[in-house]
Amino acid sequence: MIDTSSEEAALAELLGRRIGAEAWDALASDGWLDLSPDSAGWELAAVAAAVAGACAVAQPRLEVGAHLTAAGVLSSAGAAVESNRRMGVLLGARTDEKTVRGVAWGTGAEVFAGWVPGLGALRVDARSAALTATPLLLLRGAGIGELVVSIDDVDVLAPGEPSPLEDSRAAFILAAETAAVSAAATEKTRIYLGQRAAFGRTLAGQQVLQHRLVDMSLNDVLSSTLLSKAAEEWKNGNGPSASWAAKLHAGDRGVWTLEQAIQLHGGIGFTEELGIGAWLRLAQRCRLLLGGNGRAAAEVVAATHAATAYSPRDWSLEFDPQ
Amino acid sequence: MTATLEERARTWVEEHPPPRGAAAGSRTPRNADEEAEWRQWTIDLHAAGLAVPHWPAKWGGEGASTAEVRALTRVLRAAGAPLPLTDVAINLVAPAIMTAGTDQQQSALLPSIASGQAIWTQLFSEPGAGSDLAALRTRADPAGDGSWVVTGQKVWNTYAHVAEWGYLLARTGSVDERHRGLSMFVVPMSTPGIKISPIREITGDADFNEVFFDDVVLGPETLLGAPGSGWSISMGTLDAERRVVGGLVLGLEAEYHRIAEVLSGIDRPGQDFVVRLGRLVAAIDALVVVTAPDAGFPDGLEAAGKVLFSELNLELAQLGVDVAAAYPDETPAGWARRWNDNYAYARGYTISGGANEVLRNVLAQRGLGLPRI
Repeated sequence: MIDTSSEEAALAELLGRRIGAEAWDALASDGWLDLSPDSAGWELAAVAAAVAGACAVAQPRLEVGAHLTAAGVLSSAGAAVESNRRMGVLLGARTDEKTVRGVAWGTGAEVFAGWVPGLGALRVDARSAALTATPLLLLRGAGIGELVVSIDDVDVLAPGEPSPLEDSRAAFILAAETAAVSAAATEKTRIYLGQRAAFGRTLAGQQVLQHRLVDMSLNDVLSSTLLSKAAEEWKNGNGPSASWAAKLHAGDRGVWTLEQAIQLHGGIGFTEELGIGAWLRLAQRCRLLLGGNGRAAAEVVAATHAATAYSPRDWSLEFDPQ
Repeated sequence: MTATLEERARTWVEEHPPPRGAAAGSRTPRNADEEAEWRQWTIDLHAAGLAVPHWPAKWGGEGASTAEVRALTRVLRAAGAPLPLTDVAINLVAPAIMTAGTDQQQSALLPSIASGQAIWTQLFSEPGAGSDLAALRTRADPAGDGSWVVTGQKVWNTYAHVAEWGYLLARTGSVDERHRGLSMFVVPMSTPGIKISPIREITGDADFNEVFFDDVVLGPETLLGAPGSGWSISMGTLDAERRVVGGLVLGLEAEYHRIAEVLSGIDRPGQDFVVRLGRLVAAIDALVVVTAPDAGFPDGLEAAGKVLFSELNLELAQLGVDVAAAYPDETPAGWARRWNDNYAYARGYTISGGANEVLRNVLAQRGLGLPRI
């Protein structure tokens, strides 16, 4: 397991009570927004996305994950990272003769970057894009919108087709964010169960709630493990498949964990005031983007099959049970 | 250049089909013919240096690293090799003998485990003491000459019907002393007064047994460690426990590769199957990492390995059964039988070794600091 606790602590301290533009400026001046996962290492990128994600209750527009994913797009296109501007990323984009459209991640960004099949890597100035919010309650406030822009208003940075790396880079960052908010919600729930009393004892003393919290924690351990594994695998050339596995687990089980966090908090968990709902929307974002669980699972299964490099004779299928 | 353990294993599995009973789905021999074949297969595995390579050289191993052993285990599981009949001896008994045994006990007992000649059974659980092991009532009373007289009943004893030796946890103090009144013994299973009775399970096989002790006299040399130290010995070393769970998890890895191979050969497999398999692959991959002896769960969460393994194992087996039902023409011969058997057996892992509900209590209290209930 990769230990990034010192970086996490440094970033958490940096953000502290700063909010909004002040928080963003502090991140920029400390170099966190110059990171490109490909050049700076995936561990640091994960830390930045994760800590910013966990701050999402207070920082709905602190879209570090989207910014870093966009940085990766620009790097892969050989273009300079615009670290002095808020960047967002365009996912699942497609084009016809007149427009480019896709899912914009990182609303509030000044610039969007993304790869578009048949066109290449492109850059869009948000002021020229017709950005509309996706009318899905599930993702309300989760930094997602539908981007529609005239093809005349995009800068094609590099012609060509997107490599499979592009989506898997985004999968990794989404997984990092979600693993962090899931773990934060589990810890918040643990503390709450110890404070709140009912029927003459704390909620933490109720076995059924203890078991639920155990399962939330185990999911968190597996999510963070897959994330560490993916960060390591990017160095070995197997980053994409490991990132899809991390996204699949973090999104799928993260949604479950955040649902439990709301449930275990009772009525207060259902309020916007507590903020777990904001985290749930981030987990849903991870689960739904890039083709949802179906796409992620298909990527994982295909990679699993391809990785079967050694297939010994399977004797057990040759014997009759009698 | 000397062949690596993994290379030696690949050569070995191609030349050594698993014993017939194991290949047909059994975990233990069902009759004398199966027992003879399975014993020989086990001895051959040991002779090839593939059973205890992680042991120190003085006890017949070669001090292999965790990574080497895991690579070897992957090859064995991928080839459908069963656990050797010595797996209880290797993973549970031998570490205890190495740490708590006298020089004489080590010299007398470890060589026959290292060679694959001695099969051991674990004699811990009782009808009234399963997950609550400290409630066990089988007594070992001093006979005055250093010997002990054992009376009681044990249950769920894998390999007891073929074992030469038993690894017995018995009460030498009072019931009120709970875990402090327990001692560990190494018991020749041929000792007069021991009766073994098989238990038929939902798998249709009888992998487990009941073992009855009726005034069984054990010599002083059978006491392992000090009187009253049985509980701490039974808990074993953390490393040994992780090795057991880690080995089982590598078996899941081999099985998901098999399902992935089948689904990848089907034109447009059902989305439900793909998502279920993808989820399982991700979770099992994570579990492979955290059950490695040199990695591990965060402090207090070690019991999570068994909880997660047993539940993922069950889910994977259900998937295998469902794939068999959905694609009878695309799955290899023997597939449905294998996965139905896997499913039935998987049901037991959530109970054995501490029921998952009990382990969740442990995890809540030790791992998360929640109050004892």
